[in-house]
Amino acid sequence: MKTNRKNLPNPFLSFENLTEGLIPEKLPEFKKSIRDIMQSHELIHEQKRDALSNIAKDALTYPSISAEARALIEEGVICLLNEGAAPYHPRYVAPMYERLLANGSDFLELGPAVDLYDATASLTTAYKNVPCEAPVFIGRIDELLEPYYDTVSPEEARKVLRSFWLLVDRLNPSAFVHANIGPQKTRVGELLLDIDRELKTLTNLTLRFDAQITPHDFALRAIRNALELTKPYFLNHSRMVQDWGEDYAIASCYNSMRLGGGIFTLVRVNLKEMVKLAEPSIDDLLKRVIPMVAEKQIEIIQSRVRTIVEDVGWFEQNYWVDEGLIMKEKFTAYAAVFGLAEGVNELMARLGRPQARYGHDAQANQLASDITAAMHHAVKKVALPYCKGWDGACFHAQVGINSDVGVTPGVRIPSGEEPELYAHLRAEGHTHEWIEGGVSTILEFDQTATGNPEAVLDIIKGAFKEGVRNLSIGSASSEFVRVTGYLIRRSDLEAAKAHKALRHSSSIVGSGFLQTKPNHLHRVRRKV
Amino acid sequence: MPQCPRGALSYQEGIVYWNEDICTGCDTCIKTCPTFSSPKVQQYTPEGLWRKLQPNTTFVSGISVSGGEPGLQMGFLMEFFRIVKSASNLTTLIETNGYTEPEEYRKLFPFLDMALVDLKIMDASKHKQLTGQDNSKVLETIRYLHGNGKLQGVNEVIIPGYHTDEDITCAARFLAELDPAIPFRLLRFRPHGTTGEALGWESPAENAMDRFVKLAQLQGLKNVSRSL
Repeated sequence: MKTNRKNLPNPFLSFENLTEGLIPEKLPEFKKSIRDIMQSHELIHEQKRDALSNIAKDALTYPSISAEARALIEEGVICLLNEGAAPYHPRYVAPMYERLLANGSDFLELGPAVDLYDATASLTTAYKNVPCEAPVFIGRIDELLEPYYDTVSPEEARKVLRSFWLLVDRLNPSAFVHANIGPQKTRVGELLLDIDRELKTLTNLTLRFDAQITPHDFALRAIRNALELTKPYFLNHSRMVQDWGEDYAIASCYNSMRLGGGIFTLVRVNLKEMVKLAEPSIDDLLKRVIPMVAEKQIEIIQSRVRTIVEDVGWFEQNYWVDEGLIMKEKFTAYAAVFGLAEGVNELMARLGRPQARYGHDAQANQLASDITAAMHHAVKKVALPYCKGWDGACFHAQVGINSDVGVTPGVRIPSGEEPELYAHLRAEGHTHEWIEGGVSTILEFDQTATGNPEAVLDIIKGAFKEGVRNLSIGSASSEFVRVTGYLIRRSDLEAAKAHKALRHSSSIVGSGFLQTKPNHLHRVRRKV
Repeated sequence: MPQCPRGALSYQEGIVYWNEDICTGCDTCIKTCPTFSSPKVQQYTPEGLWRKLQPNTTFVSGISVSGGEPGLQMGFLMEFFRIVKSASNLTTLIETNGYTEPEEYRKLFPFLDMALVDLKIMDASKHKQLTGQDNSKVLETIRYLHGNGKLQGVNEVIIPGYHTDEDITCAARFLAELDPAIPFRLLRFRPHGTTGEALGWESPAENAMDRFVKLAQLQGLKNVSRSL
């Protein structure tokens, strides 16, 4: 079938085999998968190439793990998130681009940047060479480029930045490509918000916001952008600094990591499935099941980290490491969760209170917070090799993939089921508390918000006081939809339904996701 | 009571009881009542109202009180705003029809940051026709609040067939003479949620709203806006 989208991140392809890899009997299916990709009319050249490289990995044997851990994968409690059987690179990398600009790169044959032209050319080159699947972190752009702003005239600065921002999208067509700005207001930061509004690219953007540092007018400007473009994200900067210090990066969807480091792997637990392993008892879940599942989750993470570091030798003869742009000691791995809402609701039902739902009931909300806290503590307990960038595994709220039917991303309340605004922010805020590795709440406003961005800012500040770490602000009338952590255009969704090829690989994933979750397009809209 | 589709209303000894937990807010009760009165009215003490609002105050920078008519609840408001000011850094604002006596507004001043005044229409006879009252009191209130630094702005709801170029020009001139910086906001009439005669009124056209904004600006007002 030529229309099969073989690069969708299904957890398992038909020929995959956890213990033995590709076996001879499955060779015909393997060949067919390759042919399907090569002959697809819905994939452009680059997407075919990526899909082919993924399928090669999937033919390998998984790193060795215990039978108990393997059983949890096969039951769908633990999911490997389409990293392929055997990873050959870290999942996310956050290079220190400032060193590249200051020192240049021998390997890439770049000199130190002396003006804005050099700086943007060096960055563009670096993005194309980032040693993971996509340049999921492209830098704290304002900090990187502000020092070069005065090397050209203001008119030139605008032109150079505009073409830079255009190239970021055109050369790296993925909404997982993520830039950070703030918390200070800079000329580059302001220009970038303007240019982003003009170009309307899908490149992800986070404003690191701190009410004590970020000027009011800069925040309002970002809110106006967000109400039109559904970006930037508003990130609770002071909370991030408490956990990570000043040198952190936001990559891909909303993923936190050390600047100069990265994340080896993301292994996630489906809380909906995990709750099924427990007796109808909160105690049994928190004290027996969670520590047991977390231990196996960490075991799987370990096996993958060892593959990258020991078998692949990723840090050896790697110019990113040799030139000081990436440091081994700043890496860690994500132990993630998703489907909190279903897990909570299922257990409440088994406890005889089916009406008590996450977001709407005090006991359910408490359980949501307790499960999140218990997972946080449990994953930290087991030591991880080569993960010096964090004390144990870093806890992350994963947003979900197409195959997660009937499971809500991360720790969110299901779309369309959100309680009133303040109750929503409080309920999710209490779970954010535990999730240093990245989490976010989505708010969609109706048109009253455009006339009152100040009120939106008040809500953001209040949300941060309630523990919320990251907010996606948008409006129901925007042409962009925040799928889970990244953006897709509504028009791309239509094109995907008509089986047309899409320029952004993330839009292929996103349209598949939205087709399995139609409620996602009908969120509760907030007035201000 | 059978009129409620959800069975959220009961009637005991002459009093209607409303069960908030099962009410869906369909407002059948209000539409059924010959005088459009609501069985959902709740009574609060000033302290009780503050206790109810307080948990949500992290998400806002101020509390505004609209109507009904806050001017009819001055005793309550004085106590309520006193509590707000002593317990928080929130701003306080009322949206009033301007019919309360100046000395009554003055009593609120220690705890009130600003007031918004609704001006129905500048033409005295049309004002009488719409509200049954003269508008001289409203104009006096606008002057008085402005003189005391408490006027946030003036709102005027635009209804086709009532509001003419002349009305808007006069209102804007009156405000501009007081202070060209007074914010004047023209609100488009919307029939949603209205009852009786107003149900038959139409929303003003886009171009009429834009023309009124321009007319008001021509009188020298610096801060004229309109609703969507």
